[in-house]
Amino acid sequence: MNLQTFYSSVGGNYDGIIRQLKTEERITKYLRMFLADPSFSQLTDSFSAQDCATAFRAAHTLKGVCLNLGIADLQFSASQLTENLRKGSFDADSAGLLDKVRSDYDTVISLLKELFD
Amino acid sequence: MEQLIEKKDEKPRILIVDDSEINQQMLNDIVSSQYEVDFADNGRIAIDKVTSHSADYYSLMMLDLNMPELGGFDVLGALRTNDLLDHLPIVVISSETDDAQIEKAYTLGAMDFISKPYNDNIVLKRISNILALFAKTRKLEDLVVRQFYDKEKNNQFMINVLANAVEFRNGESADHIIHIRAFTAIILHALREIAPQYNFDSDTISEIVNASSLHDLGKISIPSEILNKPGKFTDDEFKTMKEHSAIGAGILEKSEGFKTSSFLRTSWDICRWHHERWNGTGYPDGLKGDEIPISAQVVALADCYDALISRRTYKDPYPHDVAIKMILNGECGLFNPVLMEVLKKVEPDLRNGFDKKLLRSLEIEEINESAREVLNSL
Repeated sequence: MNLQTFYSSVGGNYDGIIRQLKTEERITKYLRMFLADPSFSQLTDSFSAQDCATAFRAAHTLKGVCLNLGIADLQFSASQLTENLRKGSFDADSAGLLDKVRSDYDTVISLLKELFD
Repeated sequence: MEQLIEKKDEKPRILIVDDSEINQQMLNDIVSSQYEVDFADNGRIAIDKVTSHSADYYSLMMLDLNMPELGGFDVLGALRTNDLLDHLPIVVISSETDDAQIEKAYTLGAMDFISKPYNDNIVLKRISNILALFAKTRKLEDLVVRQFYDKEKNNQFMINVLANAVEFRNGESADHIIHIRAFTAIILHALREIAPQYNFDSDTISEIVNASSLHDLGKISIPSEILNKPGKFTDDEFKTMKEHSAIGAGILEKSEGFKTSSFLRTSWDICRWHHERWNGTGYPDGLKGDEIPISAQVVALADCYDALISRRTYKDPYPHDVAIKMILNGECGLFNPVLMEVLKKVEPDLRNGFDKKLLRSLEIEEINESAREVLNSL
């Protein structure tokens, strides 16, 4: 597993991210931080607590971080969830959108663990 | 003047406000080579940091919109309410794609909006452009303030030369003018604080303070043997002496520009009416209560207090406490009850009113504030 494989597996574009962040070292530094980023657990916690405002903020933050790191699939699903929650209340689609975020997130995390092994 | 222009040798300081550690780190990596960086994890911390430092501590804020505690919109709102946006440009950084939200940020006073993903060079360029624009505006402001200050200062010098000429002839020291100005300034500031109906702006205060120098202008035409007579006046002499208020006003009326100059008009009020008293027992017109302009009421009080605590040819100085008591007891005629409240409040400041440094700092502040007000009204 290298960065190129990682990016193609998460829907991203290695060339784009290396243009943006210049060095693999820098990309790696941020990806390591992503492993510790609390946004996703905040998102699931706030779903359990039925706290839509916090869920919106967490989804929004997760989307932003993915946008910055070029993690495209997760960025897309997080973005859809963000827009679903913007109105301030959960609806029939919310849980399904969260499931999509969860599966994209799990993919990213397992790939990252592999990458840093 | 020196304190108006702050020299900063150190790098400009940027406050990065974002709840995400990754975002903080990414922005830090982009800007830290050229700027000092400080962080706030949410809006509340950001506001605390900005308000606990001087206005120029941070040169720019990079602000996320979605944060716990207080979000970016709340920060913009709070800074605007506190008039801090004039000094601190805000660049909103967000992955927000909703145009309405971005527009809202601009409406609330954001200078610029940077969206993710960040491009290092573009972020740096935008920051440096904004800082350059702010620095240029600041420089222009300082230039205008300096010119305004110099002109105002020259006007004050001329007024003081004239006022001192009057007072020297009067056998009083130049300190009398300094005292009157200091006491008038102290009383006006306190009056503005405790009585909301007198919401003077700094222009008005400095105008009244300047005009107070001229309160005894009319004494210039009182014969010196009366002016400097030791001991009590005869009735006729007192009558002549009392004419100085009307004479001073007359001199001002004949001055060019009297009709249009608010300074001359204020000086006229003070010259003519600084011996009027609240219950109508003063002179020359026997005005009562609020018929007497507040400027003249304040200068009358300042004049009265200074007369009591100063040595005159006909009396020894009274100690401060005695002078205050005499005024409060109505021994120098009655004053506006509100001014008596003010007197009780500023009594400790009056005791220190001789401090010329205090007076100078009051005046410099006043002039600077006036200049800023002029600028802000453009």
